Amino acid sequence: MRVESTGGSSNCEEDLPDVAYAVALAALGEMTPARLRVLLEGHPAREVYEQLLGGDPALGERLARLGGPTRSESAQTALDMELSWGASGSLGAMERARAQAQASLRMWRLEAARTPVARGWQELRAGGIDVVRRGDAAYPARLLRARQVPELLYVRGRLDEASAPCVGIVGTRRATHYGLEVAFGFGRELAERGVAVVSGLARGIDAAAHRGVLAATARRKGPLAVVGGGVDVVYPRENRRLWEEVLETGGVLSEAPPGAPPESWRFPLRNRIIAALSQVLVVVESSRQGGAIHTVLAADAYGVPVLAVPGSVRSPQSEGTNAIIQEGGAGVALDVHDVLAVLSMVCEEDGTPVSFSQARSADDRPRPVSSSWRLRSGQRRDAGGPEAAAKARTTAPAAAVSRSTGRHGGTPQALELGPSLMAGTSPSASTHGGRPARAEAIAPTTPVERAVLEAVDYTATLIDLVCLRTRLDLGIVALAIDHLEELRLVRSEGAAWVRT
Amino acid sequence: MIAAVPSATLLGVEGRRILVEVHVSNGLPGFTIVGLPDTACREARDRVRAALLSSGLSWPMRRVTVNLAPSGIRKAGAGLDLPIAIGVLVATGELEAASIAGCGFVGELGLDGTLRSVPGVLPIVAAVGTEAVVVPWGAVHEAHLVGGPLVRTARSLGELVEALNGRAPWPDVAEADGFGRRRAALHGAGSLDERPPDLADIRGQVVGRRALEVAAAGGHHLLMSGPPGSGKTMLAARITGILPPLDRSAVIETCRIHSSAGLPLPERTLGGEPPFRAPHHSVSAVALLGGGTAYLRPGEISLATNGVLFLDEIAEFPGTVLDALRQPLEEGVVRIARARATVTLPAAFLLVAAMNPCPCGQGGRRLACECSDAQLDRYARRLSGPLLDRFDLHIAVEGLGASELFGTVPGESSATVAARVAAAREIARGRGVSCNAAIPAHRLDELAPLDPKATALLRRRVSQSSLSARGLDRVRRVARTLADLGQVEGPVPAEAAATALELRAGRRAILGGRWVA
Repeated sequence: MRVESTGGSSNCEEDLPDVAYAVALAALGEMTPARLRVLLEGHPAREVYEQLLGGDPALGERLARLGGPTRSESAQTALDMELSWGASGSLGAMERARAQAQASLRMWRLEAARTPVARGWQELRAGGIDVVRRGDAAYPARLLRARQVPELLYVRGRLDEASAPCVGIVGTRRATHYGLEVAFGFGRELAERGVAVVSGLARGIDAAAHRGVLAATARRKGPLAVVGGGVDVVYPRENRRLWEEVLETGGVLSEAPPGAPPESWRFPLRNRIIAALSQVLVVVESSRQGGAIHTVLAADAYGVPVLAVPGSVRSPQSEGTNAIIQEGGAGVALDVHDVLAVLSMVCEEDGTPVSFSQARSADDRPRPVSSSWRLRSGQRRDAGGPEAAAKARTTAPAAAVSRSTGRHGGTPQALELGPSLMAGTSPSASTHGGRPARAEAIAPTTPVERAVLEAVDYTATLIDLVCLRTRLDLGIVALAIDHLEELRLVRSEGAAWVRT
Repeated sequence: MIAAVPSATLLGVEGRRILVEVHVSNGLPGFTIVGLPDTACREARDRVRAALLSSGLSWPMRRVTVNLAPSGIRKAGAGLDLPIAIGVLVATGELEAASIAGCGFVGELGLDGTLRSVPGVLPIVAAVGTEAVVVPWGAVHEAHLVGGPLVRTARSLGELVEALNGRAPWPDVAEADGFGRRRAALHGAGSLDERPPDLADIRGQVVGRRALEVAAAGGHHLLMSGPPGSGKTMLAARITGILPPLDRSAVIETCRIHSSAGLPLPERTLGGEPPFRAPHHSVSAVALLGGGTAYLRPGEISLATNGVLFLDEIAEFPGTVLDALRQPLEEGVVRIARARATVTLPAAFLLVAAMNPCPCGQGGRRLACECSDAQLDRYARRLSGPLLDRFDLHIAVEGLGASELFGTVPGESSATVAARVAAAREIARGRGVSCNAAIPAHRLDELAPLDPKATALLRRRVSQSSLSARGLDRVRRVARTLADLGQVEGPVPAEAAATALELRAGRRAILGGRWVA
């Protein structure tokens, strides 16, 4: 029976691109990525769509092969099924799958007859959402190595961040202070060196990594987020502002159609995309059973090197990361240079250009991961005047190389990249790029501001302490701080101030 | 055979005039009280009878009916014991009706005839409206504060009857319990050891001291967050020492509220020190706001009127209790509606609150804080946004390290700061507002203009969206107070604006998360 009479003809307009039909199929209720993949396998989307409207039994056979998960099943089952379609079940299971497939097809047929393809397509375009289909030039090549290649990707913002070099940062949503700080630092330093950072815009580690990217000064790559729900469904709500900032400077992509709620079964699927997009995966904190472990397993399957940040042996949030280090599943990332070293090796193997900076410079301020006494000593060195700073600059690279050799003795070629990059290929990310150069250009002008700046530590300092140290009146200090903040020499951290 | 005795009863913090009518008639001996008495009032029957008999007076073997007029309003408490007893004596002819002419009565009777004080003598005496009022022995000082009627007293019913009959002189009110000492306090001769603690005890705390001073000068509510032991409570306890002393009408209002709550009059308040109430965080909504079944007792917020309500560990208070504070904070009064009556109680107080920055108290400090992010988020949300908005000042307080602690000189004394506060309050009054916190938003441009540098500074913060429109208004009021404290007459300078921003820096911490703000 044909459904043409119920308005099917208007559903099949000539001028629509084939991907519009794929989008229409993806938007059907209870459509999962795996089902979509099976339906579209080797067929143009328009043909499949017309088969669906026409009630073609071939579709049912194709779907039944999948075994067909539904949303009601648990996330783990859904993942297993998504990743292992075609595995033959028992005879009874096949029968059930067939019946389920027929039921879904009947439902989809009615739904498809009701909703014109053109309207869905226009709404998508109007919402500023791009669709990238497997086979398109814009489709990230590294995704093709995923166990089940996503058929469609919905993108808001920029997708070019997904090209190399690209590091994934994942971890628990219930992160500790330590984990957030490390993720933030990694995100910022990678972005400052021209490495794209991909994460999942979830609570905790993900959000901290994105925030780190956004906080980077000389940023060359925006943040890239792979989300579980639709690209227009902000989740969790508390990240709304972060989400907007990510959209502004980077991109948000998803396999789920717009409007798809962030259901729990979608997240493990999302994790496999993060794993496939990354050239190196960094796990900052994860419990033993955490979602980040899914990402690690997927990365392992795709041959993506995994680095884990070790944590306290007593912290439940570090159980997973410590365990994969112990079991040899991951290297150890103590700081961003460990990540860069591995990344340069991967790029070498892939044959992709090493377009990021591995340079260490004297201006590499100790970052928040370091303990406070080191921060204080750094401050004193700065106080020693330009000569002292210059001296420090000349000694630092040598120290850096010796330190790296100590830990990555087997990869000399990776180390040699550093100085050559500093010399030529990447002028913007050398010692003169970013924050330090500007700090030299814009300095506090008045003695009061200099004194106030001196009194602010590189760790959170309450204005109380600044007043006591400078013995200046609160009003004068407040005004000076405000000006220093405008010059970006200090920034607020909660109620306190931090020297940048 | 009929007598009418003026008295009054208490509702909220107001007295209501009551006429006690007693009728003694032939018939089966009995004693009934009509006119909506509550339980305590109905029990007057037994107390009055026993008190009369033990004072050597006779009880009529006739039918006694007492009506409490107007009959429509509920009468609470034992304060009507004395007028009922006097009414019975007049109705039976033991007392001449002429001897009680122009005289009101209030007091509870003991079974032995002693006169006992009741809550709310002050508003009750003010409401009786007669030339003279007889009050219990221990309540003379309260009655005297009213300043209107002639106050008379006696230790017992027997003594009172003798005096009324003219057989004995009236006891001297000056001898009454606690009267002399309290009157001395009222005239500013309170003893030194009862002064509040001094600001000079506090070392460091530049921001804390400044915030305290601004709160006192401008009537800005203050929230302090900081780890345990950082000195929040110490600071708060010193605020009454720098607030301007209460004038006589404010003293009387405060005393009236304390009296209505059945609390002894605070002696330091009689001397002009603003009241300081610090309820524990287990306080119930009724205890905080006022209410209850009997006579709608004023709560902590009313007791803090003209003074300071200090909520230590504010995050530990139940959310519903805290949110109930919003309306009184806005209007300066609290309306309590019950099925039988609605009262409006004064609640114009300065709110000072303290909290830990997080459950473990270390405030997300590196290596010290054990709280997870989720815990911190949850903790920050204990205070609702609207309540947080009421705080013009929100500071982070931190204890000092040893090096800072030993390097500091003692700060200014309370007296020095109080002088500045008084001067700033004077300037604000010259503007026609009670204090700067009360400047309405539409008059800010007129009353608290900004100089160009201050405008530029605040504009930048607003465009960075680190300051909301409402936040801006609050910052401007605080900046105006800061300028007043510095005796700056013209537009608010940039320095005051920058300081005002720093005095709400705690808000950045609570709303922005931690270093990943």
